[in-house]
Amino acid sequence: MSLVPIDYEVRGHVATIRIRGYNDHNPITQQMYLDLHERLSALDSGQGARVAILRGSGDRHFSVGGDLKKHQAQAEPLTTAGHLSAFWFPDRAVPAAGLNRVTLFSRRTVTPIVAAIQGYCLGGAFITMCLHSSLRIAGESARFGFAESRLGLGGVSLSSRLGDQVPYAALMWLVASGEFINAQDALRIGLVNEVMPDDQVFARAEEVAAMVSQVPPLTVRAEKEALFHTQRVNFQSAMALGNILEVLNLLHPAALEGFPGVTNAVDMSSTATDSREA
Amino acid sequence: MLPTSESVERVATFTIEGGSGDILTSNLLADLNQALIEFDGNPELRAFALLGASGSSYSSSTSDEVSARRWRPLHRPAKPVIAALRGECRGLGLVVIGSVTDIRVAGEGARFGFGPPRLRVNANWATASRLHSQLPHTTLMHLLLTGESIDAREALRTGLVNRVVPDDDALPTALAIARSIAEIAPAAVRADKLGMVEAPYLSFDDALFFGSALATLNRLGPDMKEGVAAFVEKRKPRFKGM
Repeated sequence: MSLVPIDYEVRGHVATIRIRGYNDHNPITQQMYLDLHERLSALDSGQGARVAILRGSGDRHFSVGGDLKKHQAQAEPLTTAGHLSAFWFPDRAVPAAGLNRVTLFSRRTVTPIVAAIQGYCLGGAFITMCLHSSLRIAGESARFGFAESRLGLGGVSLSSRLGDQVPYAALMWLVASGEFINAQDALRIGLVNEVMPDDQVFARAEEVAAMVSQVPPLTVRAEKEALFHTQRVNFQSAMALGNILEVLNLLHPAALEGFPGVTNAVDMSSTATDSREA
Repeated sequence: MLPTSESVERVATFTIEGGSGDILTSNLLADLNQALIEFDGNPELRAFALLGASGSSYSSSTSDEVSARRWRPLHRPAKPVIAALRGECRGLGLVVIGSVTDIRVAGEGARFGFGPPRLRVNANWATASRLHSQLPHTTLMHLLLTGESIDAREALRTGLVNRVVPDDDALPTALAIARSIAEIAPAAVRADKLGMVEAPYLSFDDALFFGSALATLNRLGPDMKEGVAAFVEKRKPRFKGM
């Protein structure tokens, strides 16, 4: 078993991404955020698996997020000028500046991701889960939240898009109180899809991933892209994009296979046919 | 009874005493508005607790004192507002709760709704639209079109409130939450609330830029260093920022 911090393993159509920190709380270092960003980008490039499972390494915690102890010990404290420079020139930022928008949070994943959560899912790991995973299976031990405000850091939670995912009062509880919520609360507010005993979580995540992997990849991609690009547009604009994406999907030679009595009249044999072709 | 307003331990409180009939008069709303504005402007205060005392009923006025004049939105503070809700929370009361409060504790006897449609001849539908981000669409439509109310459990299930407790525990619970928030670095709390209030209007890229700017602003203040140091040294933080 490899000991790579962001562990990536593919079996068939399903990739498993494990966050492996230096202890069983799986804290994430700056480099790990960058590695995770690369893994997710690679997934979306169409060369990776059709669906990914995102989980912590081991069976105690998903991840507690950014590694404060190491950050504190190793990082040279930034000057005011340094912080400002890191904001205005994110491409030149050094790791000590902390996360900036070109790292993990500068994208959303269009490949479907199933998060399997046990134990702590906090801070930057919580943002990662909210931003990138579409489906979430939680164990009874799961705890979600931002401790950042209790540490004096605010504003990062905006990257999570949590406002699009849970009701307002639940959202404000998470960001303003600095408290965590448990698995049952997470289920109630719609943050996760299912809650079960911890020892069933990973098996269920595999089942769900297998289900999703059977849906044509371009269909799933169209759904996620459409959702991302129409969340803040009016209904007519949303419909216009939706219609175009549907037509694009129907142009695929494999579309409508399995619909009895329907023949696909469009001959696309001369064009690329496989979504996984490089 | 007049509403009472005071501040203890960095928490501003506004208590609405119970009474029969409709208590959200324009005077009360003006007082509440003033209290919210003063709360926002006072750097010593960190959280605002809106406390509905026993048997209180927040409802729209059927005496037309409020509905006859144009409804003006209450000031929405940059800092958190925590509400304890008991009894009937109807009409304008529901809109007030939905538009200026962030965290809500309901007593078991609390009920939420708009009241019978046939009485709302002067209804201002724009106010009800503020609740669209607070309740599922289906719940909002149910309340508006049937005139029925939902109970505290249903309010919890649909995300309108955060917690349901025995009626007598509602005020102490809300106050405890407010006090707990009052201990968090104030700049961080304001940044988080601002981000989330603006989020619905921001595209993804805009949200990232905004959040990044907010977080940078926070890092420039004194409290992040103190917060991280306190965490690493396993002690309580002493926040100095405002």
